[in-house]
Amino acid sequence: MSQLAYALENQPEIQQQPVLLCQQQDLVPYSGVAARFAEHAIALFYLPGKEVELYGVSHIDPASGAPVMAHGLLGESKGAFYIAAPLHKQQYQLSDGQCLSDSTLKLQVFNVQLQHGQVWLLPPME
Amino acid sequence: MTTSITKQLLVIGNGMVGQHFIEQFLSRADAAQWQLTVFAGEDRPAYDRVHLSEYFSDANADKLQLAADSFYRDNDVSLKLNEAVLAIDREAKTVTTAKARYFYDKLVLATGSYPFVPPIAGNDKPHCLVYRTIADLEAISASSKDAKVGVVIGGGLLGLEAANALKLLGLEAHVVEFAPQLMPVQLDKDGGELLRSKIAQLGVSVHTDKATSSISEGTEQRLQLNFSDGSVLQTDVIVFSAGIRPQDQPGKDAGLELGARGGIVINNQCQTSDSDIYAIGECALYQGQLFGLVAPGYQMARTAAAVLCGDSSQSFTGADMSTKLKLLGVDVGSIGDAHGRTPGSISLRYRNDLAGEYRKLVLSADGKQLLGAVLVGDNSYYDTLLQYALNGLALPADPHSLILPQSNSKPLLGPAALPDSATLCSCHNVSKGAICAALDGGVQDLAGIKSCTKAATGCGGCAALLKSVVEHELSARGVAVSTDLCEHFSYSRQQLYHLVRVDGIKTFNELIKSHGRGHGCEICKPAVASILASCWNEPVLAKPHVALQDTNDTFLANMQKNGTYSVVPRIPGGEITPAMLISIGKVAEQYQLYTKITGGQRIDLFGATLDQLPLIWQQLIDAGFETGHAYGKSLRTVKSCVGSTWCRYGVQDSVSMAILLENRYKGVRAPHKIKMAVSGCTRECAEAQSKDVGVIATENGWNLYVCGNGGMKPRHADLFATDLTDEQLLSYIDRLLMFYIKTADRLQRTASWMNNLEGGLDYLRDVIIHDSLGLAAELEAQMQLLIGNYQCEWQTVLNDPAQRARFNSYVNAAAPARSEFGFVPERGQLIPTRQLNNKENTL
Ligand code: SRM
Ligand SMILES: Cc1cc2nc3c(=O)[nH]c(=O)nc-3n(C[C@H](O)[C@H](O)[C@H](O)COP(=O)(O)OP(=O)(O)OC[C@H]3O[C@@H](n4cnc5c(N)ncnc54)[C@H](O)[C@@H]3O)c2cc1C
Ligand code: SF4
Ligand code: FES
Repeated sequence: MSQLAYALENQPEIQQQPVLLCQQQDLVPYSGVAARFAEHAIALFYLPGKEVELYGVSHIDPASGAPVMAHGLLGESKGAFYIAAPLHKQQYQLSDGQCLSDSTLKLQVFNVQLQHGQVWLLPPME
Repeated sequence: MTTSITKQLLVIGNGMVGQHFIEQFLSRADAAQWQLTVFAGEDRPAYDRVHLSEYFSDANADKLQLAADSFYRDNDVSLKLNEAVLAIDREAKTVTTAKARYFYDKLVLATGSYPFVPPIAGNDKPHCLVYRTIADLEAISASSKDAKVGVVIGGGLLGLEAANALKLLGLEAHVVEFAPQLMPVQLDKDGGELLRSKIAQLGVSVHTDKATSSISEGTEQRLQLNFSDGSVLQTDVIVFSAGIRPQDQPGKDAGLELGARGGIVINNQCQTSDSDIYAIGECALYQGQLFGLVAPGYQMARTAAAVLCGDSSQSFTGADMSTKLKLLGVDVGSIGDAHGRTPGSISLRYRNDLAGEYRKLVLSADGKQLLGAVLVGDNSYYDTLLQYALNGLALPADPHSLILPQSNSKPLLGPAALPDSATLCSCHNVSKGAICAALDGGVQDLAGIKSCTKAATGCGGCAALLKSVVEHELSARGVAVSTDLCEHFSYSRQQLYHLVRVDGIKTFNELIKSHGRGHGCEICKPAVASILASCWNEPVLAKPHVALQDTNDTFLANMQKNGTYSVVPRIPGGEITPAMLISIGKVAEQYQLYTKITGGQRIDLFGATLDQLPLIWQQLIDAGFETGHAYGKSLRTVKSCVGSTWCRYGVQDSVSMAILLENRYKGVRAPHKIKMAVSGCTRECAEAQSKDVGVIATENGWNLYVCGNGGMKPRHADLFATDLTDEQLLSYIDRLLMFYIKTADRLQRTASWMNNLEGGLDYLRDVIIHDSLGLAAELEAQMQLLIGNYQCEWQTVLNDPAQRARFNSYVNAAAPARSEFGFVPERGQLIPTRQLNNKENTL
C-alpha cells in the first residue's frame, strides 16, 4: 500500500472548519483533478450545468491502494454519474462512493462545494 | 487458515473427474474445515482427456491443462504429482505411496480406467502402444518418426480417433475390428456399415471381423499381425484401443466391494462399501454400470462433494450415455437405446447411400416417446433428438419428420419449445431453467452465462444449443441481441464511424447530441475519441477530446499497478545509435526508472510519477526521441531483422523498410493496436507472420502477410500478395489499414476482424488488390491525410502550458515524493512494493 493510503487509513482526521481547496479554473469539465488536504487526497469531478456540479471522493483506489481515482473516466448510466477506476475499471457511484460491481468496495465521499469561483471542503455531514 | 481441527481429505487420481471434484468441493463453504491432498499417478496436473487428440494438431500439452498451476497453490491443495497410491489401509485409515504414508478422515477414489490390451502373444513388443495419456501420445509420435504404416486394434470410438491421429502423423492407417462392424457399442448394423464406407473413402483401411492371434517380427515393416483366418498385415506401429477397464486395483486390494467384471461399487451418494471411502468417475460402478464419459463422472463428482459437506440433497442416479462426435470428419451420433433393446420398441429409419447419411429412431411401442437414435453423416439432428429423448417430450404426430431431410430448414425443436427442466448441458448439469434464472439475475450475454453456469465448458457438445437458447431468451426479454456500443449509442462502432464521417462531426458532444443520449461512459467515450482521431487525426489532447480519453491516453503513458507510469520512446525498426542508447540510459538513471527491453524491440522505463512525465519527455525529445504510442490504440512497433545489410542470407534491406513503415503509420489511431514486422528473408527472424502486417523479403520484392496476432489467441497471418514492389507494398498497406479502421469493431484486432469478415481473405483481396468496391483511391487519400497530420503528441503537450499543467498530481499541493508510491529494490532497480491482497487496503 502506498504511504499516502496508509496515512489516510490511520489518521481519519476530521476538520471542523471549511477549507479552501482550489480555484474553479483548476477543475477540468467532465473530468477529474486531485487535491490534497492534510493527509487526505481528494478527487474532484466537475460537471458544469448538472444538478450537482461538483463531487469529491477519495483519490485512493480502494482496490489497489494507488492514488489514481481522479484519472478515471466519468460515466453516466440511467442519469446517475459514476467513475470508472483507471486500473481495473470498477465503477463507483459519485453520489455515495459505492462500488457497483463489488459490494465490498467503497470510496470515501467528501463534502465539497463550489462557491464564487472557489472550491471548498466542508466538515463532513452527519 | 488457522482452524486447528482440519480434517484430512485425500483424493486418489487427478484426472478429469478428480479435478472436477476438487473444484466442486472447494466451492462449498464447508471445504475450509478440510485439508485437501491429491495424488496424481501422472507427472502433470489434470488435463482435458476428451480433447487429447488435439495434442497432435498443435503439440502443445499445456493448452490441455484444466486448471492453472497457481490454482492448487491458491486453494491450499497439496498436489502430489507422480506419486501413485500403492495401498490403502482401512483399519489405520492411511494410504501409502512410494514416498510416504498419509492419514485420512475421508478418501475419494478417482482413479479412472486403463486401456485394455488383449492377451495376444507379442503384445509387449516395442511399438505396441495405447491411447490414454499425454505420455502415450508422446510415445506414439516418437514411434511414428521413421514409420510408414500404423494399425489400430479396435474399431470403437477411441480406436477411430487413434486412427485419425496416426493419419495426422503421416502414416498409412488401418483399423482392425473383431466385430463385424465399426462402433458396435453405439451404432446398429446399418450405421456401422455406412461409417465404414465413409472412413474407407478417407483413406483409412478398415478390417472388420478380424481376430488377431499373434504379433510377430515383420519383414517389410517392423511388426506383423497374424489373424485367425490366416491372413497377415504388416505395420510399424500398433495402437491397442480394445476398450477400457476400471482402475480398481487399490480398492480391490483393500477389500472394497467390486462388480463381477470390475469397478468399485457405489451407492447413490457415491460411497463405496466403506462409508469413509467414495469412488467417482470411470473407476466407479453404479447399479452394474460403468460410465466411460465425462458428463456422468462430473455428476458423481458433484454428488460426492455435496455429500462430504453434509448436503444430502444431491444424489447420483445413473446417467445418459448419449454421444455425438466427428470421427475422421464423419458425424456420428448415438442416443439412448440405440439398439432398440426395450421390449416392444419400434424403429424408423432413413438411409441414403448416395449422400452417405443414415438415421434411425427407436420409439416406444405407442410411437409417442423417443427411446433412442442413431445418426451417421449429419449430426444437425442430434440436439433436437436428444432433447426429446432426455426430457420425455411427446413426439410430433409424424415422428419421421424428425429424420427426413427437408428442403429448407431442419425440424429444429425451437429453444422456445423446451421445458425449463430440459437439461442443456449434461457435463455441468445445467437446465434451461438455470439459464433463464441467470439471465433474470442480470447476466447479459453468452459469455456471462458460460462463466456463471459453466454450461458448454465441458465436452462442448451443447454449445450450439446453448447459444440458440441464450439468444432466444435474451430477445424474449427485449434485450434484442444487439450490436449497440453501450446505453448511450444504439450503433455499432462501424456505424458511428460512418456517421462521424458523413456528418463531418468533430467532437463527442456533437455526436452524442445528434445521434446518442445521456452523457457517455467509459465504453463510448474512448471509442468515439478513437473514431474522431482516425477520421481527422487532431491531437487527442486538444480541449474537446481531453475528457474522453482513457487514463493512458490522457497522460500519454501507461498507468502501472501502483499509480506510476511507464515511458516508451519510439525506436523505429529497433535500430538505435549508441549515443541515443546512452541518452535513454542517462534519463533512466537520473529518475531511477526501472528499465527493461520490451518484446517489441524497444526500451520501457517504468515508475515515473505524473509530475515527472513532462520533465522526462522533455529530455527525451531534446535527445531526438518521439513518443512510442505504447498507450494508444495505434501502431506500436515495426519489428525488423538485420536483413541484407549484415546478414549473409538477407535478400532485401528489412531495416530500412521497417523504419519507413514505422514512420509512415506512427500515430494513426485504429480500433485496436497494430503491430508490424519486416524480415529480410524467408528465415523470418522478425516473426512477421505473427503480426497484423507482416512483410517478408523475396528475391523479387516483398511478400505481404496480413491479420496475424500473438497475444491471447494467436493467429498465423495470411499470405496476401507476393513479390510486391516498395510502392505496391505501401499502397496495399495504406488501403488495408484504412479499410480496417473504417469497418472493425471497437477493440477488435485485425485477426478477429478478418475472422469475422464475410468472404474472408478472398473478399479482402478483392477490395484491396482488385478494388472491387471502387474504394482504393479514397482509402489511400484518407490515409495520406492521417499521415500528413502526424505530430508527436508529447511535443505538442510540452509546447502548451495549459496541457502541461494537467500533469500536476495535485492542483493545490506540491508534487508527491516518489517514495509515497511504495518502491523496493530488486536486482539493482526499483520495483513497486508487492501487495499480497489488494482488498485488505480498503478503508
Ligand atoms: C512492455 C511489454 C512487455 C515487455 O516487457 O516486453 C508489454 C506490456 C504491456 N502489454 Fe503487451 N507488451 C509488450 C509486447 C507484447 C507482445 C509481443 C510483441 O509485440 O511482439 C504481445 C503479443 C503480440 C500481439 O500483440 O499480437 C503483447 C500482447 C498484449 C495484449 C494481448 C493482445 C491480443 O490481441 O490478445 C495486451 C492486452 C491488450 O492490448 O488489450 C497487451 C497489453 C499490454 C499492456 C499495455 C497492459 C496494460 O494496459 O498495462 C502492458 C503495458 C506496458 C507498459 O506499461 O508500458 N499486450 N504484448 C511489451 C511492449 C512492446 C513494445 O515495445 O511496445
Ligand atoms: C482419446 C479420448 C477421447 C475421449 N473423448 C471423450 C468424449 O468425446 N466425450 C466424453 O464424455 N468422454 C471422452 N473420453 C473419456 C473421458 O476422458 C473420461 O471419461 C474421463 O477422463 C474420466 O475421468 P476420470 O477422472 O474418471 O479418469 P481419468 O481421466 O482417466 O483420470 C484418472 C487418473 O487417476 C490416476 N490414477 C490411477 N490410479 C492411481 C493411483 N493409484 N494413484 C494416483 N493416481 C492414480 C491416473 O493416472 C489418471 O491420471 C475420452 C477419452 C479418451 C482417452
Ligand atoms: S530473416 Fe533473413 S536476413 Fe533477417 S536475420 Fe534472418 S536470415 Fe538474416
Ligand atoms: S454437455 Fe458437455 S459441455 Fe455441455
